[in-house]
Amino acid sequence: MTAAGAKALLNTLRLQGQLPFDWHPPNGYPDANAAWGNTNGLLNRWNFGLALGGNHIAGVTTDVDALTPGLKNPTATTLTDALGKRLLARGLTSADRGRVIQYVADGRPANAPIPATKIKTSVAGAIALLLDSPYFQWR
Amino acid sequence: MTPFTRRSFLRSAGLGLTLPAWFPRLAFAATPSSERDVLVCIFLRGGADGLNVVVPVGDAGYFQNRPTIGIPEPSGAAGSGVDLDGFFALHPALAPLKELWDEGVLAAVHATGSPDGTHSHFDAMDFMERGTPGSKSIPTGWIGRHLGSVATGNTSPFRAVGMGTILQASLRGPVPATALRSIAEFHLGGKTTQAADIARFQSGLAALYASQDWLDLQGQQTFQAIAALAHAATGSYQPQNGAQYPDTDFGHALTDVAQIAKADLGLEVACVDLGGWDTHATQGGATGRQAKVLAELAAGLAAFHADLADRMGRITVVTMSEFGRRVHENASGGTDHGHGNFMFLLGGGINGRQVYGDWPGLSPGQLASPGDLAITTDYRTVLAEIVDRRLKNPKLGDVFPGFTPPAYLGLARAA
Repeated sequence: MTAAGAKALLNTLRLQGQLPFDWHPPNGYPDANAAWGNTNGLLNRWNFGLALGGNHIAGVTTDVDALTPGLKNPTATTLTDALGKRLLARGLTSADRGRVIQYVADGRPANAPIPATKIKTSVAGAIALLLDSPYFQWR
Repeated sequence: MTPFTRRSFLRSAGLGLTLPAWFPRLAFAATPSSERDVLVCIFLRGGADGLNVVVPVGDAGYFQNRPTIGIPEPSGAAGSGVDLDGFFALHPALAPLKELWDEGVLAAVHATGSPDGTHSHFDAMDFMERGTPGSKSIPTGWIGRHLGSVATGNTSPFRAVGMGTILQASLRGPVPATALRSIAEFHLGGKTTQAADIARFQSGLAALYASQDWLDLQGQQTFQAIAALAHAATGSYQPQNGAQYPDTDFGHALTDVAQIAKADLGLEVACVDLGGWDTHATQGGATGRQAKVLAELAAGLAAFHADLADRMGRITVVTMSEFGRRVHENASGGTDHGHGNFMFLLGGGINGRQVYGDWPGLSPGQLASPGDLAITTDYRTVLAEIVDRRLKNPKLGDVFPGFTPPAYLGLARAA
C-alpha cells in the first residue's frame, strides 16, 4: 500500500462516517447496529468490496493469488469454495453457495474451467460478492 | 482536512458532460403532490448557545452575564445585533435570515427545550430524538412514531431520509428510513463501460439479501433507493432563484433534500445535522467560532428557502439543539452546558415574524439551576403543533407518549 492508497482508505472510512477522531457531536461514535446498519453504510461497504476485489483502489493492491493457494484451472465452483473458505471462514448455505457459483459462472457450466481471459474478472467479482454478502457483513 | 471526493472531482471536472449514464440525477415533477408538509428537521449538535443566536438584548441580565462575548444591541453598526422586535435581536451572522423574518415565513421560539435537566450531550440528544425526555424505555424516535401512526400509503424508500453517514435516532421506528450521504454518490461504483457488469453484480448481490433478516432488509432498502434514484435520473441539478448553498456537508445535505423534495419521490421527512456548537472556549461574539457556524446555518436556510420557492408552502423546517448554554460566560471565553434554548421554524405555513414563548428572564432568581435559562415551552409543544397542523397527524399520543401539550403557541396555520 502506498501513501495514495492510505489516503483512499481514509476516504473510504470518511464515506462510511468512521474516520477516526471525526465524530462532530461530543457524545462519541455510536455503538449500536441501528446507527450503522443503514443504506448509506451498506452501499459504501459494498462499493469498497467491489473496489478491493477489482483492484480499483489506487495505491492498494489485493494479492488475489494469495487468496486461492494451489488452485489450478479453477471452475466457478472451486473458485467460490476456495474464496468462500478464505474470506468468510464459515460455510455458505447451499442455496447461497449456488447463487454465488451462478454469478461467477456467468452463464458457463459451473464445473468447467474458467477461460483464461475471464479469470481476472471472475476472481474480482467473486471476491466482491463474498465481501459484500451478508456473510462477510455480519463478521 | 478536505479529502478529495468523487463529488469534488466531478465539480472540478466541470460536471455534466463527463458523467456516466447511470449517474443519478433526479427528474423534477411540476407540482407538489402531497397535502401534508414535508418536514425538514435540522439538529444542531453540540448544544447551541441560543442566547447568542436569538439575543435577548432587552434583558439587562444578558449584558451583565456576557461582558466579552455578548452581542451588542442593534445599532446598525457592523457586528451589532439585527433587531427583531425591540427585545430580541438576531446574531449578526444570521443577517441573511432577516429577509425571511420580514417576509413572515420565519419564526423563533425561545426558552424552549427538553424538560429533562441532564447536561450530558449523549442523554440530552437521545431524549430529544426519542421525544421521551427522561425515559429510554421506548426505543423509537418521535419522527419514526409519527410516520408509523399516519397511514399515507407511501412505500417510497424516500419517505423518510436521514442525511449523513448514520441514521438519526429520531427516525427510528416501524417505517424504514433511508440514510443518504449524498445523491451523487448513491450507486454501485464502476466505469460507464461496465454498466452491464454492475447490473449483473447487483442482481447477484440482491439474491443474497433476500431474507427478512434485519441486515437483508437494510440491503433491500438500499437496492430500492438505488433503483429509485436511477429511475428518476435526468439532467444535472441546478438550484433555482440564484440559491447558493454553502459548500459544506450541511449545504450539500440541504441541496440533496431540495432535490429529492422537488423530484416528488414521496419525501415526507428529512433529517439534517449541523455540528460545531459545543463552544466551551473561544466561542467569540459577533465574529469567531460560533459566528462561523451560524453563518453556515443562515446561508443554508436562506438558500433552501430561495431554491424551493413556491414549494415552501408545503415545507416546514424546524431546528433544535439538545440544550442551550450557561447564561454566564466562562473564563475561557466560552459557555458551558445549559438548559433553555431557541428553535427556528421556517415555512409557508408558519406564522412568522414573531418570537414565541414566555421569557423567563435572566436575573439570578429567574434562572434554572445552576445558572441556566429556564424552559417555559416544552419543545414537544412546538413539535406537536407542527405534527398536528402541518403534518396533519392528530395521533399526538403516539408521537409523544405520556405528553399532553398545553395550548398551542399558534406558530403554524392548519394545512
